[in-house]
Amino acid sequence: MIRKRAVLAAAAVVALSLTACGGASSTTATGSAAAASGGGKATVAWVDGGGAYHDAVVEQILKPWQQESGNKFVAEAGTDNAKLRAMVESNRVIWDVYNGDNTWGTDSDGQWLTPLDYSVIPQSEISDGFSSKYRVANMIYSMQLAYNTDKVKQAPAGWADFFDLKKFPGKRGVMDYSAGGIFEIALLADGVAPDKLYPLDLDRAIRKLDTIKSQLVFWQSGAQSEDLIGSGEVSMSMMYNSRAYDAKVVLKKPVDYVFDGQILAAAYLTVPKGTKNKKQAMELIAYAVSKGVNGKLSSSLPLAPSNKNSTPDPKMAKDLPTSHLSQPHAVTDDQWIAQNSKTLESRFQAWKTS
Amino acid sequence: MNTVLGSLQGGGSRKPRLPRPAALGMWPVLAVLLVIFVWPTVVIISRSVTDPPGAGLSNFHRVLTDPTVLRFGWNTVRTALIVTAATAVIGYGYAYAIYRAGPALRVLLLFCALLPFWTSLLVRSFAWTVILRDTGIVNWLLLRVDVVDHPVGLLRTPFAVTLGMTQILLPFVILPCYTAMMRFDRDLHLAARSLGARPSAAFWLVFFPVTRVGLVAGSILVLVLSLGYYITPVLLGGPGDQPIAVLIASQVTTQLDWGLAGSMAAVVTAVVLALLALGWRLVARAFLGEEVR
Repeated sequence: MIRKRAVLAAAAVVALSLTACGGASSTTATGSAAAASGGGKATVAWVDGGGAYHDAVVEQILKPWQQESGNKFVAEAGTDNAKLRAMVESNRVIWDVYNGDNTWGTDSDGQWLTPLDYSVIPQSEISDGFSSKYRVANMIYSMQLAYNTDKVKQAPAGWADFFDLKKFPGKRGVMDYSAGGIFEIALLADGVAPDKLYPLDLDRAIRKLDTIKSQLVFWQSGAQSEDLIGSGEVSMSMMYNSRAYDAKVVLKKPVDYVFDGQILAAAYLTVPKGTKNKKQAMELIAYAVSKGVNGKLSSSLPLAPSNKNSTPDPKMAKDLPTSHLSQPHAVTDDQWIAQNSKTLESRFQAWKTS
Repeated sequence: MNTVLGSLQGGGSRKPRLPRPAALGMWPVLAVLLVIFVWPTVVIISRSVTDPPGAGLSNFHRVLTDPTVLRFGWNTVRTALIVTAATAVIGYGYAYAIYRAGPALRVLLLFCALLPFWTSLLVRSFAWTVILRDTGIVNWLLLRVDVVDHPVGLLRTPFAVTLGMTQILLPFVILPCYTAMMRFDRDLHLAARSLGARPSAAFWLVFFPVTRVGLVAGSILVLVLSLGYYITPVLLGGPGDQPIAVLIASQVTTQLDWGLAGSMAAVVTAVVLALLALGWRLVARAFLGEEVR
């Protein structure tokens, strides 16, 4: 039945095409339900977006937790909201902790989630605005402006320069997702105050986007954004700050980035409705966001802790989004985005194809 | 023409019966298809009328009246038609080259035609982006030899989508065309020539009408397949070239509106089934070499 449902989630596309179309990257989580047999110990299945982040989570969070708690874990790369919904609806939930992006886990998604147990999870230690009924942030990242240093000699000052094709010729990379920040950067460039972004003025955003539409290149994945900016195919791109960092520092591409105008967001831990390991899932989340553990991801990635009492790795300080809060920046209003996601999506698609 | 075809296929009325043990061989395949393809398709499409509860035909109403959906639908159909025309012309010509080639060259040409079958669709589509983009091989060469002074926009255009999909789908035209040509009775050609037809007349009046069945069958397959293409137009096309599969994927994975996704899928499936129903006899004849009744 699980198989059938998993196939079903992709079947809209399968029904259209006999050819492969690249879906979720892996299906390694097995047997968590079978291993759950009441008691105190279990095998807890964790799923996140993958990449370098996934490896860091396994090393810095999951392995130490297994050591300390005596529970086991299964880690899977490739979150998929559709798959989660299919699991919950068929009552065969194999994921226990779901590490979604900033648009996931607001009250609008309550029908697929279990409320978090804040008697176990230290909510008071979490930065304000980064925890709610169904979700708690485990790291803070941002969407920032990155540029290719071969193509752009003088560092751009912010999103206004991103939209200035005269001063900075060249193509621009943007995320191909209505709720990924594309409307936000247009409004910031057009002079909207960062704290007055929401509710988004979509007409104004689209007017602004139209001024550079012919130069836009839409990327579908973080890896693709690194390729576009690293090769110089685009001279500037909006990028996840961890991806911009990876292109510059790890891959040593001619890439640099600015924190001016960055849009802060967070990744969130949630527990699917119907999990067989609710207790252990809550314990794992409490562990992941705890003071001593929450800052560890910053040893290899520019991701800031959500726990106010955690200290990030000092070597990473200058690359953390939270080290640049004295400069202009915005914070995503996930609640508003979730409530307006249908409008955002239909306006986005209509604009793109017009 | 019917009599020519009839004579080629031995009267066309004989229907070989499968011996019983051989008939058993088809059941595992049918069973697997039923479980992993037919059933999920039925479930997805049934959601178009049940999600949200009591949806009735409202999802279909949205799909068929929303200008954005219609725009994406038109993108899909337009791309499919262009690709079908391109593969038909190139594929038939290529098959003819294989047909006329000597034994060694024939093997090489067939191998090259089949190569796309053995590489991943995603890899091939991505390879095109490396070739076509502003910083890619083609533009590098053009800049190098001073043909242009700034990169030509090749990627993210309808041209790139057509090129990528045509290359990937060519075998579906080449193979049935080649099969039809191999079944062509060369004596017919000699007869035409001996009765005074010039080579071009012999080709267009005798050879092409007889082998056309492969071309039509291949074209139907390409049309059907290209209506469902997703990753190639996403990687190679610009914002104005995106197919309806993109809208379906966004409804399934980010909007979680499976009713709307189901109704879009149902419309596309209906179009595909209609095309197949129209062309099925030709497809079967081209691939199996016999009449299907």
